Amino acid sequence: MRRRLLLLVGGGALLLLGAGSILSAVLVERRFRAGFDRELRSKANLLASLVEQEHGALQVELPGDLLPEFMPVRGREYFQFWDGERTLLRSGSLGSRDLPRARRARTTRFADLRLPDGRRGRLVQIHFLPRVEIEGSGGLEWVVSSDRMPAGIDRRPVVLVVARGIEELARTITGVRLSLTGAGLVLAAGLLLVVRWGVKRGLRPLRQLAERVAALGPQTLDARLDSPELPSEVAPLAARLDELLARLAEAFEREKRFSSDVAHELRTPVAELRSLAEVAHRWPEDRHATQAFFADVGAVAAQMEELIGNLLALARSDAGADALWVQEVSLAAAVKRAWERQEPRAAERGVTLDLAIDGDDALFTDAAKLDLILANLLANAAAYAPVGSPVSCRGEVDGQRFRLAIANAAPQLDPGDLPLLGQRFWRKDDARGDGRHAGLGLTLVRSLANALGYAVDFRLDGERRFTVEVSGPRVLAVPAALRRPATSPAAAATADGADLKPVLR
Amino acid sequence: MRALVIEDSERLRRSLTHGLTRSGWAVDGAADGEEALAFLASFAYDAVVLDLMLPKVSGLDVLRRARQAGAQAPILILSALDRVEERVQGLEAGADDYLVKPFAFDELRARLQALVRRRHQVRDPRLQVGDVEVDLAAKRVSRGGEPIHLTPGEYAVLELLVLRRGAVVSQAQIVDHLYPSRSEVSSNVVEVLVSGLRRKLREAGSEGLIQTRRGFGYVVA
Repeated sequence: MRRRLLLLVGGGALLLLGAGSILSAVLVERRFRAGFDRELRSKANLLASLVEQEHGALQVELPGDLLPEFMPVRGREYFQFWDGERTLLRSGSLGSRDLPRARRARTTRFADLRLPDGRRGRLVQIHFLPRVEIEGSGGLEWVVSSDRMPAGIDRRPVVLVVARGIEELARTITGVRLSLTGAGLVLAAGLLLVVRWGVKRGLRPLRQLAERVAALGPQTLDARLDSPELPSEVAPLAARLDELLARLAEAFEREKRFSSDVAHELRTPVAELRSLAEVAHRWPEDRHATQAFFADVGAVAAQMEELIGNLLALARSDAGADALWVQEVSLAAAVKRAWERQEPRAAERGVTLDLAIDGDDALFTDAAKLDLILANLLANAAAYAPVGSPVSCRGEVDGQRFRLAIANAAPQLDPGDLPLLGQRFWRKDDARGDGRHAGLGLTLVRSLANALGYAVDFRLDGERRFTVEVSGPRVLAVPAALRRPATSPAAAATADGADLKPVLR
Repeated sequence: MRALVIEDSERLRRSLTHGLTRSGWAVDGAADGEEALAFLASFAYDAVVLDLMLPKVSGLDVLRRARQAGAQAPILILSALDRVEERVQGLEAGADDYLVKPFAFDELRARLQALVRRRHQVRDPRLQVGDVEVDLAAKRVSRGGEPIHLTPGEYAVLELLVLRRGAVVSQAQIVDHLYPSRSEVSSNVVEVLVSGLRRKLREAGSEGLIQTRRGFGYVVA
């Protein structure tokens, strides 16, 4: 960025400076040339004023000592008068040579030429009528203007060409060019230094911001970059970076807590495995105990497998990496199916299910995810409802939405526990010895419900009756931009005519 | 030696109980804090293994309440909580040792034995009693370099008497330290064990190591 700015600003400034210098040089050169031409014209006018017509004859009264530049030996300037095709007079410096003239020109003309002595020069050609001496009221007088020219006098036009060398002009112009070039170079160098300093100073807040960003690490994610000293152009960038840092810090904290929780959750089953293995290995002769230990090892492995499965499902759901496979599902059938898996445990504790679904119970949703939600909710109810108590499951499905409430007595819960429900690895009782509940069920329910666009609400009434309510659209809405080609006929079924297809979220 | 394993994981409690029992310990198991407090109030243990995250009453509360009630048994905390502050909190609450899960069973056993030795102010696990040497770590007995083969019960009696050298140990105390609380023990089991122990020591050439204080119990001088 700094290099680009330097290139753009410096290059632009140098370009402008160069163009300005060239323009200045051209203007100054023109002014010098114009001055040179004016001087040349003045000299031509002076020479023209020396030509007079008297009695029809043309005469030139040349004061030779006053115009030494035209003298034969030392003269380096030239003139030549023409009276028609006849040369009226040449300067002594010209000798017998002729100056070039434009025969048809009737106005003043300037031109460059090679002088007779070989130097580069410039000429002016003028066309004029000589003055005439007439008898006026006050005696003889010279008349130049045609208005006052008496009738009958035929003045003869004279052509004059004056030429001189331009070496002095060329030297002056060269001097001006060199001066402008030198000044331009000095200015350019100064400009570059100023631009570089300016860019460096202007970018300092960005550089400082970059240094602060570079110093950030996993341990310093609580640092913030925005400050009142930052210029208004950089402040929004710092603010956006701060927002990113806040999100990163939150994600880091969540991951750290998650990793710690996972490690902690695995300590007990790993300790069980190790202890079982070591004791069985040390006393293998006790076959009865060893066989029991093997059974325990299998149970621990199954528990760990379930924990890992839940963790993976949660990770996939949280990452939105699971495809949604929308199909028609009977809500009542899904609840019954989920309860069947919990029945052995529920029967052991005398817990029963009281199920009632009102209306057409068909949902259009991801059946596997709905099954997981129901399985987790009913597993919790079967495990934590008091022995011998019922679990109530009430559902309502109308044209647009559905609502399912699973309720059971929960004397162990306090209202203060509600905000903690759904947090990873949270359990009312810290003890992990049960091994059946890792505190991930409600977390997974929330994550899956979120993936399906459902709401999950936890309530505890005054009689310590705990209710989980899941509600949402009867037909899972699939954004058009996220639709994928259907690979199953069921996926095409919709209630409102819109295509329902597997979608990757 | 008698130990109490307080652990809510039934599988871990079962394996620890089995391993320690096979190592010569009499082991009681408690699945929650309330049960543990009841055991600690009823029996004198030589060592206690205590999990911290327990149902009903937490491990730390069990520890504090046991110490407040005067329990002198060495307590080893066996927990998945591994942070320094958690370990410090456990030790400051009255625990004698702290072992983080997962752990090696042999290390747990060695730590428990070290706790027992420390309680009886014995630093060297090899004790010389008269002309008999008792290796508490290897659980071996020898005389003049020749091993004396004892049953686990006989060794447990000798170990208890040796650790309480000079003190009279009653038959009831021996039963308490040799058998878990739920065991069915016949009334003359201690006499049978002591008799067998004396016979094997005598056959090895050692006479009069265990003396009887009639009406009180047994003593190793």
